[in-house]
Amino acid sequence: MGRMDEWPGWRRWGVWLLGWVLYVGAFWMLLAIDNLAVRIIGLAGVCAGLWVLTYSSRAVLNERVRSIDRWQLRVIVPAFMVYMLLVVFVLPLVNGVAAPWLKAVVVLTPMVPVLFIAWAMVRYVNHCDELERRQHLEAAGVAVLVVSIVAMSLGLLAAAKLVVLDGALMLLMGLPALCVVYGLTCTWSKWRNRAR
Amino acid sequence: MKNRVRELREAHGWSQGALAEHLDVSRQTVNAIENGKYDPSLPLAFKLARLFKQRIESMFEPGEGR
Repeated sequence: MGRMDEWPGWRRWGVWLLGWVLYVGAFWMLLAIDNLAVRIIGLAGVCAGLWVLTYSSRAVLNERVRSIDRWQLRVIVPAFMVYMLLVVFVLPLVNGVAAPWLKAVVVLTPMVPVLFIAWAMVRYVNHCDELERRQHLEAAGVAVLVVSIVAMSLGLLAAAKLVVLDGALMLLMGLPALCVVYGLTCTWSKWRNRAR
Repeated sequence: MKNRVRELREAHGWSQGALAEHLDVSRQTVNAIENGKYDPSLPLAFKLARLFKQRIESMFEPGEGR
């Protein structure tokens, strides 16, 4: 088989696409189907998808996987599994809890793996090379700018009572929105330097 | 900044990936340097010069890079 980055292009892109199908499909199984066995399979699928995507995302850019990528995979996949387990199985328990302090503890439990993943991301960026660090910095800057402008625009519209927004939902969407814009900007930046 | 990285790499018969492994950077960084899209830091420029046994000023010269 050889190293993935030396495979022919069609095979590398095929594995990358397969990784996305696996990841998105497994995520859907995990969140949309209320069946324990299906959710466990979904969780395993999400982790397998992350593994395939980490290797194939480097390979489609003719890059070999570096030791920091493998470290990130070893750390982030278990943390992500814990996060999903907490969101899917522990968070719904909040309705049966009466004491406010216990409710707060249950609701905030998923933040533990989120903080761990944030630490792992910082360590990952610190171990990237100088061009990659610049790309991450640019992506973070673009993400903050885009999300701030959208949030401020929505805030102004809501203040003028032109749109009705759910404040809690808006706050919850902050981090995912930052991650999506950050990821897209990083991908675009790497895409520009892909050619040999 | 103009540079002779591609010329020296090809003279050694290395691929971009092989040079990237020697420098402990990603292949896209080597690609960006060769194409003048990115000017390396001083430590990386010295690493390149040492690897190719060149004087740094013979590898890099001011000019239009990007």
